[in-house]
Amino acid sequence: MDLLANLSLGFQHALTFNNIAYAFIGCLLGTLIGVLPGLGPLATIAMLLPITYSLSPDAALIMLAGIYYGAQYGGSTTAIIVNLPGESSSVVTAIDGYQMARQGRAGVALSTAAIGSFFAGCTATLAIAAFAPILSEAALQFGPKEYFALMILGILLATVLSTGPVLESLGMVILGAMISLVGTDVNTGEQRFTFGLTQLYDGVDFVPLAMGIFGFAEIVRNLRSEERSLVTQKITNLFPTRDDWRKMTAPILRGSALGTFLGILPGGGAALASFASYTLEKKISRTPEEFGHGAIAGVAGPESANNAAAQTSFIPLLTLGLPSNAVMALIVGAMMIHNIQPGPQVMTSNPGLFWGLIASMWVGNLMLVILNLPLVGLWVKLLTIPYRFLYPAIMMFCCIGIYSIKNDTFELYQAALVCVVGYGILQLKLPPAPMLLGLVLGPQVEENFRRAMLLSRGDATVFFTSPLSGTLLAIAVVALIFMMLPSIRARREKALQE
Amino acid sequence: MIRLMTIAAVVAATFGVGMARAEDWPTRPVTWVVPFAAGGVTDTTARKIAVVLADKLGQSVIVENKPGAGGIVGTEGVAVAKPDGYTVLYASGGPMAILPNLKKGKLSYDPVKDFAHVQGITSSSQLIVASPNAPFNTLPELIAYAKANPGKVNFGSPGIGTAQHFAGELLAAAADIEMTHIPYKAGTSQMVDLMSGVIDLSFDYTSVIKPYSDAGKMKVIGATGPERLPSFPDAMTVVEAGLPDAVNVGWTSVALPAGTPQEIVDKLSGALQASMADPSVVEYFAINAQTPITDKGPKDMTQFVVEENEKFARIVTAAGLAE
Repeated sequence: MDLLANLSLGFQHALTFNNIAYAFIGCLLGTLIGVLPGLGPLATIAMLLPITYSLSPDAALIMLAGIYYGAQYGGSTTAIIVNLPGESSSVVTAIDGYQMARQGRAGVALSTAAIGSFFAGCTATLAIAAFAPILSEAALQFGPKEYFALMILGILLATVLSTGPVLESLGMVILGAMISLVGTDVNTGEQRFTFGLTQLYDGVDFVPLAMGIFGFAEIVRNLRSEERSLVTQKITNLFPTRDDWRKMTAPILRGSALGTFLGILPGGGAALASFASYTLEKKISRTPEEFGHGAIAGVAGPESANNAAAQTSFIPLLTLGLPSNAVMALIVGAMMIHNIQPGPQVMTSNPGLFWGLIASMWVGNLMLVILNLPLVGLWVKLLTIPYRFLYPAIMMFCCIGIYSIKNDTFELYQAALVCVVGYGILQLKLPPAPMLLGLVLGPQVEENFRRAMLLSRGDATVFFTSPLSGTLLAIAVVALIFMMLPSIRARREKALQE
Repeated sequence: MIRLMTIAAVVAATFGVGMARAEDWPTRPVTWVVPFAAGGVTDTTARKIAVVLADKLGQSVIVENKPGAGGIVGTEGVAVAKPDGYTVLYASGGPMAILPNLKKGKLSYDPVKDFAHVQGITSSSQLIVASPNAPFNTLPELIAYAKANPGKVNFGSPGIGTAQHFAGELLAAAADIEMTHIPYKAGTSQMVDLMSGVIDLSFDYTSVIKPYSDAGKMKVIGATGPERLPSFPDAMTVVEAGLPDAVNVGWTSVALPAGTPQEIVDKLSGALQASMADPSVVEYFAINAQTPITDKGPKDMTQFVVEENEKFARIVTAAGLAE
């Protein structure tokens, strides 16, 4: 059995005292950094990259990987406790997680996230070990037109995500996509809406926008009301009840499967996975009205999905040498400094490193559960701190996080401007989450559409004649019809009553 | 009161400048600005050299990433930095020669006048790679195929105005063939599309290509340098194919803001030359197929930047790429 032999080789590497220690340091650092709002894995790994140069390559990679998924864990903590998603993939967790926290169920939400992530992590690790080479071939099936179709499907699904009216969330997705138009036009190199500012040539970054709305604008809104505690009801049990377990099992399974698949695709897999899982859970739930008001499935599904995706996003990196997101790109740098070229040959040329890293993912996930479950009580205590002490700290960490992305104060000005606009958005009760999705997926829709059109020399029918993109677009159309159905039905019922 | 404070500040500043003498440089840590994101080849090369350089200068060298706009943001920052030798730029062909010509009149710096060019660091020629199923295996076959099937060949690059994009434009112009440019973002997404045959051709550096070609995921059909690469002895150069005008080599160098005292420029150049001879740096260059250009000191490097700017001005005009 190749798989068993490989895994045992991996565990031999992962379970040395040194590597366990580095996995632990990575997980701990990642959790801490993830909990601090604004400081995501990207900033942390960028700051810590120089330290890893003096380590052995496998220790360096194991530690960086630990930081990466540790921060995914920690990031959902801030999303749940203070409604501040540090990353695009935890935007969805904030929706129901924060509501659960306000109902005094923060502990349950945090444990659910931890349990879901652990299960998803184990599934994804096994999937990587068993299918990495085959799965990387699947990623190769996705060309520009297939990506375009997938992104369109993703955006359509996201519009049903919000609790508000479909039209409003669609409008916010479009607003996000319009903001994403700022920057250099990929096909011509022309500047769009940059007003001569070179800092805008690469477009508007996710972090200042997310922090401006979820951090700064939210703080302004909270301060306008009387001194309030973050929790509206008494804190109940910290750990899930039997009923909670029953409600979270199926979403965790579905989320893990969805995340494992979407994570393989280069480009925004984790974010798309969590949005897709949320939509899926809401659609098949018998009680869709609970979503947006603290549904446990709305935390369990997306958290499992984004953690599974975060791990399978190592597949394109390790098998094709393709970093699927900015964090992976940094990990490529860490490999290169140790004279390892990431690519298809890593598996054969450095089997110890490859399988050691995979085994360490499992070890790391176990550590995270052990590390996080006892901490749940501590995080929940944070909620009882009066807001007037909490918000200056949130602001400060947001500022550090925003500055650290590009070492540029311009990003802070951007966040300050977004705060003003974001405050208006919050006052108008418009959903901000779809806007962030529009910002993340907008450029990919545009790039892939225009690339496909360049390749087909302007023939738009290619989107329908290719089987994969045709199918995805067909699903999108069906989803659109389903989305309209309840409102059509509701209107008809109303008409009948009259 | 404000006037008094201003006078005090001016006096203090003057006094301060008088205190820091150029021959004592460096008396505090030096910041080395890399205008690209952490983790890329440029960044890792700078960090590898910085460790040794700190040793040679007797001061720590802090690598600071200031990414944005293909290197323009970081380069702009150093152009207006205080010319005291404590802010150093990792310059390269993109922001120093290609982009200033592509975006003529739109950049806030002049690559020649606003910098004191200190030392050449690396030069790397690119490989010409094709999709594994492409109906051509060598450079002459590609040219023959493109001539027989006009408008059919697509080549990808990491974006408009990159050295890889210009490699394609140069080859098309020199061989008089028609190729459609498909721009991608960042350095790698075009590699997936090349492997799966969505695009036919791409141009990139050895460090990027080698893992794929070793695994048989793409085939190397040529090289853009004047000489064959030791790691790819079978890849015919554009010069051998009779197209000397298609030569395209990516380079990096170190620069300081214009007006930096000559002593500092010379001392930094010497320290860099010594660092580049260090075995750890030599090994890193070899692995990444980067040729050190240690012989290009302050004078030669300035001359080289002038020549590169003239070359890209010609290409931009000829290919009608000016924005």
